[in-house]
Amino acid sequence: MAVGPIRETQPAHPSHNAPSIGEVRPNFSSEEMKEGVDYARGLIRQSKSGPMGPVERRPLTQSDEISRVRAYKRPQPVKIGHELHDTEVKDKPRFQVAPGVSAPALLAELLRPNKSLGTLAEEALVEQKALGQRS
Amino acid sequence: MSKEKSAMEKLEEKIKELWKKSGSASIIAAKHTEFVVEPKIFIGDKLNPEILKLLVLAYLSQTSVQDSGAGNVEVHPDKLVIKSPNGKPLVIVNDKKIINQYVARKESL
Repeated sequence: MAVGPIRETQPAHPSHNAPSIGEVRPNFSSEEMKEGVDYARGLIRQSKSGPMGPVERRPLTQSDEISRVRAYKRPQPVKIGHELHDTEVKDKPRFQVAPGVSAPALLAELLRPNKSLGTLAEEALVEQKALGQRS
Repeated sequence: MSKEKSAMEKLEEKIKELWKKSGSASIIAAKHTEFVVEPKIFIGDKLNPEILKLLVLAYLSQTSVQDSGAGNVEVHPDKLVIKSPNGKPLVIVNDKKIINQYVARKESL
């Protein structure tokens, strides 16, 4: 396959005349500055005209941000027929109190092996029962 | 005039002491002061889950070390049930690590 001559599509950048590595050029001359500014203006002019006409350039608004976030955080569709596996059940409590067991009754039972605390828990249970009956 | 504490208040204090002794208490040290974080024993009308865990572990360690007639513990492969003397289930433990520890301790006796 024949290869045609390489054409330069972009205008030469002023940095082509930039100092080589190690060479220090502290100030640009006014001519160089003018060249640089003209080149930058040309780039801006190019970017303003897209393939679909001039590109609209405006600052981002809040609605743009919201639509962008929505696009990222869109909920995933639920798979139909998806079964829960054992590993997916994460919120099974490690300690479950049986239904209908009051806290004082539970304390009285759990503290029964401990003599002093067990007696105190029994007293507290009796006290709570008496309070419940009074109210 | 000091009001006499009820049995429940005394019990709460004792449980808080037990909590401190168990090493679960956290201390916030400031420059000139120290704050000891105490748990609430009851949350609403239920026992604080952290306190429940502490008491269940204490109960299981005591029942496995000595046969004190402290209660009825039923061991299943996936759960451990603590029952009241009349056979009514009180607490169900689903933690496999605790169940294995309890079984191992029982077998070593």
